[in-house]
Amino acid sequence: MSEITSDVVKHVANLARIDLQDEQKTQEFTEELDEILNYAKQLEDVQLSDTEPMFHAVDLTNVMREDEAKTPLTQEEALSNSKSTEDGQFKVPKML
Amino acid sequence: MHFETVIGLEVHVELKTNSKMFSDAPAHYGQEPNSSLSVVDLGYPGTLPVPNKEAINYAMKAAMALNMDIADVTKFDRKNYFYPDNPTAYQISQFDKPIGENGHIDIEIDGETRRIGITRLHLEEDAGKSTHKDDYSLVDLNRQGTPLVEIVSEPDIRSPEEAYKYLEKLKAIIQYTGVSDVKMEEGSLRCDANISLRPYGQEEFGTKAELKNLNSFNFVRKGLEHEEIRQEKTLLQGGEIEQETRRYDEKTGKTILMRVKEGSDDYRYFPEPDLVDIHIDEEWKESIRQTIPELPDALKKRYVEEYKLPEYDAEILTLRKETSDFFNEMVESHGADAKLASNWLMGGVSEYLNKNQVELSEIALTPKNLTEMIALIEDGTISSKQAKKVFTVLIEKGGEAKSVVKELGMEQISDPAVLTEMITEVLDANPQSIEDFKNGKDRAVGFLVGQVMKKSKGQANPKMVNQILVEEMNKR
Repeated sequence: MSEITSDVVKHVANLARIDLQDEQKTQEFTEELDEILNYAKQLEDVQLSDTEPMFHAVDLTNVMREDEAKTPLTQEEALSNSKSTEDGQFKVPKML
Repeated sequence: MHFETVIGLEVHVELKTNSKMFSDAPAHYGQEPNSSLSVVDLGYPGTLPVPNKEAINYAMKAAMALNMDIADVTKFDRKNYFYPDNPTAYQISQFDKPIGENGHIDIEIDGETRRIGITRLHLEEDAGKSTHKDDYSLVDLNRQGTPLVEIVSEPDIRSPEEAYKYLEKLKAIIQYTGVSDVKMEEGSLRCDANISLRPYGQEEFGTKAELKNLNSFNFVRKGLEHEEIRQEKTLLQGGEIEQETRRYDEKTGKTILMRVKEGSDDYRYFPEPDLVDIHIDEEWKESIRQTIPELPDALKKRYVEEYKLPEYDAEILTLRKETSDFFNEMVESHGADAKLASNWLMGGVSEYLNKNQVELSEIALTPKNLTEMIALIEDGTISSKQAKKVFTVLIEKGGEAKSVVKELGMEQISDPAVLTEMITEVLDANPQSIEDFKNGKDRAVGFLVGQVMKKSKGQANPKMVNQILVEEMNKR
């Protein structure tokens, strides 16, 4: 068993701004996440003490670009996928 | 104070690159909102960030100027948080392998040098700006993706005054490297402060509060002073300090609770899968080290040792690169006397800049013209009173000191032949005064000098008039 509890699920949901009030749904997620974590836990049985950790599938370093600015999107283009705009800005639900 | 104050500062500095940290959208933009964006900044699916090499160079340069060790391998990490000013729902930052670590700067406090440690300097991207309306908010993402370095001090600072000095020095050093404008009023330098108290002699730190919304160095000092007292009161009354984020209110000078702080775990940092490691070899490091100019501390030392300037002058002149560049040019290129140059820069020039809220680069005065003007005072061509008028013209309209003096018709008359002629006329008209002089009444000289000055419309060189006058009277 992993350490996933319904409280952990609620906390993570809150951080991700997911509205999770339904107790039954919370229970479902707790069980599913628990299964996933337990599945991944199999890795703990593999002998890896001689293996360097890797963060990428590709063995690349120093991928960079020169500092050149190109023509940006127009304001219209930048806002084109937004459901709600005002004065050239994205309109979003109240934050504070 | 019953307790020892412990302060650590986090300073964010915007880097002056052409393009953004991970996209090729321009990093400088006008007022028009959402007009400096690429699909990368907007977090569209299928786009990939690519680091700006110059931003890495700049971060390295700043870290070196702050005496830091530069990483051989550095990498980027995701800091996850949900907020509408960041469309990707994460900030690309650096977690465990920052570009620079283990640095320091020295500050002067009560005539003594204190060394403040700097834990780390890392690169990250800035977020957009939001404006809050009554029941909704508006977001302008222009700033999204602008390269930033975050500079975290050790908790070595022991008073609000030291915090002020640390910021002043940090700002000066970064400004000298040229990697940022470091203007707090424009947001290219921002500061958060952590403050806690502990009984004197106690090793362990107390619980800290984080102060935000500190919009000037002065507000940093004031906010910390207020927080020091608030925490002391709470502790003396047997209360406990909560780990929380507090906002400084400029109007009341108080700090107000914003939120109880999220832990670092809640940001769920993990290595950025879209970016690969950056290896910085010696050659790369050396090429950046070569570009670092003489920094304020070294310059200050040189002013005191080479130019014999007082410590105070050297300190003020080296706070801003513009000022020391101006001074250097006056002294090194135009041969100005160091102390006179310093007096004018710290006096008249600085007074004008403060009064008119402008910068040295925005006025018409040049190092060459100011040097020339000083020379004209020194050789007696103009009096220091007249110099004030010349100075105003040089600063507002510009031009060469000599021609301005001519245009204003204030060139001092120092030609002995011309002066003697005037003096003779005055003496001829005042025989009584000559007699008084011969009878030992020194006042007569003052009267006669006054007459000559009047005749010359104030342009005669008073020193010379005095001398020639006495000579002429003795001849009679």
